[in-house]
Amino acid sequence: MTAGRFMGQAVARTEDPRLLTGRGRYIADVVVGGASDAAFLRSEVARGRIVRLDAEAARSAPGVRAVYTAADLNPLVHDTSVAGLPDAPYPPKYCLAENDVRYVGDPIAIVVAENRYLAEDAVELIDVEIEPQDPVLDVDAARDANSDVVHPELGTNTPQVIPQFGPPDLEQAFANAAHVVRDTIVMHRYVQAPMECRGIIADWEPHSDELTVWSSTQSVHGVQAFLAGLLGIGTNKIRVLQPDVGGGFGRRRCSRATSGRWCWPPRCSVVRCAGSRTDVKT
Amino acid sequence: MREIALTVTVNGERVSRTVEARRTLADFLRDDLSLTGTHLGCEHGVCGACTVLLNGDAVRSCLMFAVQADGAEVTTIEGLSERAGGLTPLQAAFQSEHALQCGYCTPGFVVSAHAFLAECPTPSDEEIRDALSGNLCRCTGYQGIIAAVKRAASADNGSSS
Repeated sequence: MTAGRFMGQAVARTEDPRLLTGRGRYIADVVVGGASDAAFLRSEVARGRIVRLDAEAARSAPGVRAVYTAADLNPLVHDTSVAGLPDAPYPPKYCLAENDVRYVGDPIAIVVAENRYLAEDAVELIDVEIEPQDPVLDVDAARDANSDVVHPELGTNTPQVIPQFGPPDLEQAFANAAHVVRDTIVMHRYVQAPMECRGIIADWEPHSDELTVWSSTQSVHGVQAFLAGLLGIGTNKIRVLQPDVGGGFGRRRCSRATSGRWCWPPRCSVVRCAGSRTDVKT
Repeated sequence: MREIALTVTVNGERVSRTVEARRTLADFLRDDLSLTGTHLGCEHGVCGACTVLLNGDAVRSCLMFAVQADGAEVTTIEGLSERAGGLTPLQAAFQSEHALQCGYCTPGFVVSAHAFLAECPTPSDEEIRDALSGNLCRCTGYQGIIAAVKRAASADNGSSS
């Protein structure tokens, strides 16, 4: 009767008692001794040019341990390509916005401070001026020959094309069909909104050159591989741990450059970022 | 930053601390008292994940400063749970009705439902929906949650669920 053990039975989830009694352990619940908190300065416009960025006041604000801008981090980026995409000159190798911002929420600077309150205080002290430009809002606009180029260094808005393929007799099938319906189906940009915001804790051990990362991911190996490429170190030097995750909907894969941004500062210490709802928008 | 002395009874235990005036009740509970069952989803009073009881009333701990709870009794999800393990009838009903998935919103729902059932022990579906309208769930959907609250109410009243 082994089949009867599960088939046709209501099988209680083993994690439920923990989650129902407040004993779940999500990223913001993970405590690592000596951790600093990170907060971000993000773009408030969809596209624009950074004409002024002065973080000096933030650097000397109470409790601030470090402030990073593109000038600090971008030269250190090794590789930001994502496994599974064909070779192409995309994405550009940058960590923080440099010269241009390309979406609302595009990170411009990171403040690492004694706690999140002080980190967010210091973010407000960063003097940034962005000259807004018209955003390129959809695929058709991006493919228009007269479109502005989103990443000027690429020279094009279509740096890579994934080949289309289908049944070879598709045209014949349409030709023989009794009716042909033509329609254009428009999808919104897919942005997930799980209950738990994004978060990451990174602990750099300087003596062994090893990085331990707690990430609100559903793909620990994806995060590990991406960070190894980004930082230019072996995967054997990176350990990624996944706590309970508060909803996914597709966004808990390797969070690409985002993970990287949050992993640079810890090369000197332990940094955590239990992201806010603003961090989830992007 | 100005610091203020605070004495509050949390889950039956009297605690005294000195906190910054701007420290939220949620951060105080989570970071100062390590009661991490109270979750932060939106931090501006929309999602209800941070719901706790203040003198028995369900409140959003992200919208209150810790110092506002001075002298009050605060109950969190930990305080509504059996310390020795096992589930309360309300929690057991959530499990039976598949009223949770990722579990992030769950403590807020359980706390809200607890306060609601204390005031309204024999609710209609409509009353349950209204009472829980301040809590957001993203993965499970609300049908199971409503069924769980109904089942818990029925159990409390001695009828079969």
